[in-house]
Amino acid sequence: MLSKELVAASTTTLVLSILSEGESYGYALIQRVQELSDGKIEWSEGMLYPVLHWMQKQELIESEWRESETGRKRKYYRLCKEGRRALEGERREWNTVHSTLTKLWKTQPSLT
Amino acid sequence: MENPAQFDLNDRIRQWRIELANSPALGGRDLDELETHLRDSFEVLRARGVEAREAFEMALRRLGTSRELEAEFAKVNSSWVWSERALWVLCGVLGANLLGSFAAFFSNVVLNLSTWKGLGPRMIGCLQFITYWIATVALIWLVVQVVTRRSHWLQRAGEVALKKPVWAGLALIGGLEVLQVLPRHAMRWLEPLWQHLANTGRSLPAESHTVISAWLVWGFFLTQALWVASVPLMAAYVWRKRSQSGVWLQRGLWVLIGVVVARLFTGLILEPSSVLLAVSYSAPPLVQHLAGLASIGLCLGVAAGTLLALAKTVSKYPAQWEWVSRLCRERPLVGAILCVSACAAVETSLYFVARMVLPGQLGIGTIGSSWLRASGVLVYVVVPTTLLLWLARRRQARFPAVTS
Repeated sequence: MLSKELVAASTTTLVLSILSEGESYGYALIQRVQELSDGKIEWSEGMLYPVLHWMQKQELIESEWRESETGRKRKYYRLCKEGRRALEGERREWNTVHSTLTKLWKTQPSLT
Repeated sequence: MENPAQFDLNDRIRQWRIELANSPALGGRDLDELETHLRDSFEVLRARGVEAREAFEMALRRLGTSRELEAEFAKVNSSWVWSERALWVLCGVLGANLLGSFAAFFSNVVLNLSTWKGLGPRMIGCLQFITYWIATVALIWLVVQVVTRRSHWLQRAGEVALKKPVWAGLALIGGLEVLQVLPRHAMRWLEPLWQHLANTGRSLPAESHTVISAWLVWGFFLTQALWVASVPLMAAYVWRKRSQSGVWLQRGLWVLIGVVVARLFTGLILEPSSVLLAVSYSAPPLVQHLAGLASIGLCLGVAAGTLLALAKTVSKYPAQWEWVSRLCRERPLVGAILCVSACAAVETSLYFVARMVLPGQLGIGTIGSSWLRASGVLVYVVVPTTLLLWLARRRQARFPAVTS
């Protein structure tokens, strides 16, 4: 299980990365992170939404209310131009951390 | 195993929404989004074979408690949180008017009666002070009773008011004015009685009048101190009761802050206007009227400036603000002493500055006093009512879906 601090620090990067695959909504984002991390990254579910709203205010992502195939109204989020740029920056930063740690430990931790 | 009649998902979701709808941190749209999440989560759990009630409880737990959700959403919706607080502060400002005239009426009656009985000046001062607080506590008790027992009256009145905001505003301003003017007129109607009593009672020696007014001044300062001290004490109480207290206790705290702000700033806001009117006192009537008009602008400017300065200070020094609010919550007595000392220091220095600028009492005449009264009504009744209705309508627009 990841520490609270690391979860908080990586939330925006994870959201940006998942949304770069295509638009999504809150519940699906949480499911996707759980699936990719084998349940090791556990987001407190309700807390994701304020983060999404904050990212929207920063114009990293945009949202739209739409009816889903099940007929339920959902708020879909997708990446904005600013978000793509931010993701590039984040990728560089996380890769720096990743390669530094890899060199130090001389092992191949699977961060990507 | 389970009886579907016993568990109604829509009903449970409605209850959950009502619980959160009182929080300014979450808007109607935020709740819609969380509701979709809750339903998705519920369905997935049900598909895994979890029993309906258990599935809903699990979905709720995973989403987070109301308090956690509120705290997180408040970080992104802080402007809504503050506009909700401002709404209740404005109620406090309007309430301070009502409270002031209501309590002043009773304490004036007691003042006249005790003068007639020939009581000593110290006794008169004390009696007036006690009467003021009894009347104040009685009125607060009455309001609390209405809020807790007849909240549907308030809700209904609020709905009607927000449908016709202009009429509601005029009615509120008119109503508050009548409630302000009535006690004053009642005192005037009772004038012959006081005259009669003065003739039949033991007359007080002339010098004791100054002693009485000195005692009244002390009573006034003590009253101010008690009002200021009540804020940290109430904050600590609300904090301690936060887990079981309803939303009304928190609103009550902001109403109390409104009352205290209105009481503390009355002098400060009206002082520059009265100086302007005093300076133009000996001028021709037209100039006096012009000065009156300018004094209204001045008064509004000072009020807006004071509020902006306060808001700027709070937003510029969040750490200090947090420190003060934590002190008030955790050490209410220390907080109370600190708040009272700070307010006393500011008020005293303002008093001395005013004394230096204005040597002695200056008359402002009938024209001047009408304009000063108009400024008072504008800044303490008309502007707060307008702002209150504006904020309330904005708030209503944010919660379109809430029904009970």
